[in-house]
Amino acid sequence: MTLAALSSRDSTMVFRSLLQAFSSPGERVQMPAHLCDSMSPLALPLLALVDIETTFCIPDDADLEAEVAELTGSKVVAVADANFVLCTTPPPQELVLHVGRGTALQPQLGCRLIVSNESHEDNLTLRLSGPGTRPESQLSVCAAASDFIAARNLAVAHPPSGIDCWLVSSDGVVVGLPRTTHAEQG
Amino acid sequence: MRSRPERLVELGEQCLTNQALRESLIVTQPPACGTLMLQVREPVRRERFYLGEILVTRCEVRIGADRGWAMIDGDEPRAALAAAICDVVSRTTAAEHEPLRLAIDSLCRETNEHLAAQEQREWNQIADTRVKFEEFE
Amino acid sequence: MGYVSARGGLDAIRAAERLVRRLRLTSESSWLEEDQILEKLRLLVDRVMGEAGLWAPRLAAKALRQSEGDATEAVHLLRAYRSTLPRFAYSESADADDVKVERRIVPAFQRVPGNQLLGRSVDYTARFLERQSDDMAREEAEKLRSEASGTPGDEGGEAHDNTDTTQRSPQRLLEMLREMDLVVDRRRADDPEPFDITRTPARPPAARSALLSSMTRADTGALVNQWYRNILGPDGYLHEVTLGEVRHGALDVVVRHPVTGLPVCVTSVRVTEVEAIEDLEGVDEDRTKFDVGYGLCFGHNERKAIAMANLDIACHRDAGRTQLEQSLLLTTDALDSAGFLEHLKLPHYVTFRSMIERKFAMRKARNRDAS
Repeated sequence: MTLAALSSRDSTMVFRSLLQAFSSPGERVQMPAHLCDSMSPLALPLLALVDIETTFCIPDDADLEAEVAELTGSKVVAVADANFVLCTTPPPQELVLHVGRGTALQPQLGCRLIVSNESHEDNLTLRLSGPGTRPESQLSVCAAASDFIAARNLAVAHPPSGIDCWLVSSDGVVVGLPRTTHAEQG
Repeated sequence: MRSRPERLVELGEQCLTNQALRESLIVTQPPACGTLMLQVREPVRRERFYLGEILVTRCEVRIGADRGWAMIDGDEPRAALAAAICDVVSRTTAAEHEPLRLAIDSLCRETNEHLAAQEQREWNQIADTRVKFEEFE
Repeated sequence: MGYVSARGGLDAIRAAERLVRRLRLTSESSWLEEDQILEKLRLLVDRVMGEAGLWAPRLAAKALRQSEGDATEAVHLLRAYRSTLPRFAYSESADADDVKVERRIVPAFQRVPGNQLLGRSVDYTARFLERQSDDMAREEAEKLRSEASGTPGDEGGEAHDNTDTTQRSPQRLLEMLREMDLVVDRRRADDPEPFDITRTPARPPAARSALLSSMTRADTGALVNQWYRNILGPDGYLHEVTLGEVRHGALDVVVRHPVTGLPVCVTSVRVTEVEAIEDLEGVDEDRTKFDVGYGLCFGHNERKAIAMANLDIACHRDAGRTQLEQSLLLTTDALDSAGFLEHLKLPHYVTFRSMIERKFAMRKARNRDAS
């Protein structure tokens, strides 16, 4: 599936979905269906959010990385320096611990991590709490993401620095896991 | 790029009446609004600084291997698409596009004349305000 | 910080928002067209664009209409919108020498290269509140329109020769002072990348490009106040201020065509430009020469550009001795200051209750000590 640059309207619609996902962590938010049908939903956050001002990287898919760079004009940099990192499979612990978290004075420099999240039978269930979550809020992630979640919890352990994650599934559903959300397995 | 949006749209539509052109046209970057950062070199230290951003609409198209591009002042998606089409057509060499290329040249001339006339009009309005203050003796 | 540790009130909040919207849209007077705002309130539109850091006249007019004339709120709306847009490119660096003037005065010097051109200005006349009736004003407008049509100049004025480019882009006074060896030469040999205040907040000591960008985007009133304080206030400076150039005109915006690599003019924006000449009299300064400060901002906003030019040179001479640079970088942005101020209106019940509790605790401790 080839990607295409988003129009202003489409990009705003994706932006709204992502914002909604961060406002209500754990809520399943559907990104615009007409876009998810025509291209990989995983790339939509990048297509909507990155431009020549921002940096990104896709460590596990060089072709996708090149395509996004061409369409958006955004610069590809190393994982530790990227404003946005996209992982087409649940990332290993080292990678998550390596992305930028910002500092106490500049928490906005923390990375936005976009991670593919497919549902399987052996899903893990996470209990979520924190601002914007509903009581008893839960999130289901694939078992392979267990390491990723553990590393993510370490990366957000010293607020206000930290990382913000979006979990995206192939049907275009995005779930937000901002740094303010506590995620516990159980 | 500085032609009036309605004239660009007219010309873009004229290009699209050519069936072969219409069928081979691929919009690689649909018209989208964004900003252009204006940098200025100031005279005191001759150093650059950012004055601010300008709202523009950008569009990119392709006909075969030829790429067309446009950046238009303001939120003008139709004009940006038309300008990108005109841009690529003006650089294709196909003989069948000759009439379109002539029309594009003519719009460029018209735009230049329009801008020059505007400048002249402006000058006519302000020329009377030229002043030489005198000093007291 | 727990300023807003309160929740609920959603229905009342929505009703309040609806009330604003309904009364704005349904007021008895006729619909306020964007063109009216653009043409008749042009200076307000320019000011909003300048303080927003975004040249977008139509959007600025819409923002002013939505904010019911609250300029700072309009700046907020524009900046918030801007933050959702991608940045496509950087322009080629525009040379301030290429501004095509619509107004140009040189208060410092009578005989200058090129014209002094008053342009559209009421600076030299007494201004009275025009109290003629609307009917009379409309009649006058009609008369002026019919007089203008048909004359060679069209829309007023006679036809004048416009072919001499020095008329519209005259040599600047600074060049003349340089030729007379009267000005400190601070031209740089290197060409550093400008600081982008839209991406990173500028903190002292900052590059001059950060200071210039901060001032060009600053709140006009705040900048004027900083200047006045610097001149007459507790900072204790007494500057001998003379303005070199005051210009208002159009600047072409050029980008590289990504396919052909050729420069393409995308549009032109209007700017106000000022040179402020400073008399050097400090012991460590070259007292045989002047130095020059620079101001440039979007639109027609002379007050802002004059304050900016004066503060540019004041900041250079201050060289970090006082808090001037910090004050300019951190306290002149319309959104920063208004945002902080306006948040005070939100419920502070929790923080204030904790303050009351501390008062009681202190009182109790004092009474205990006393007894």
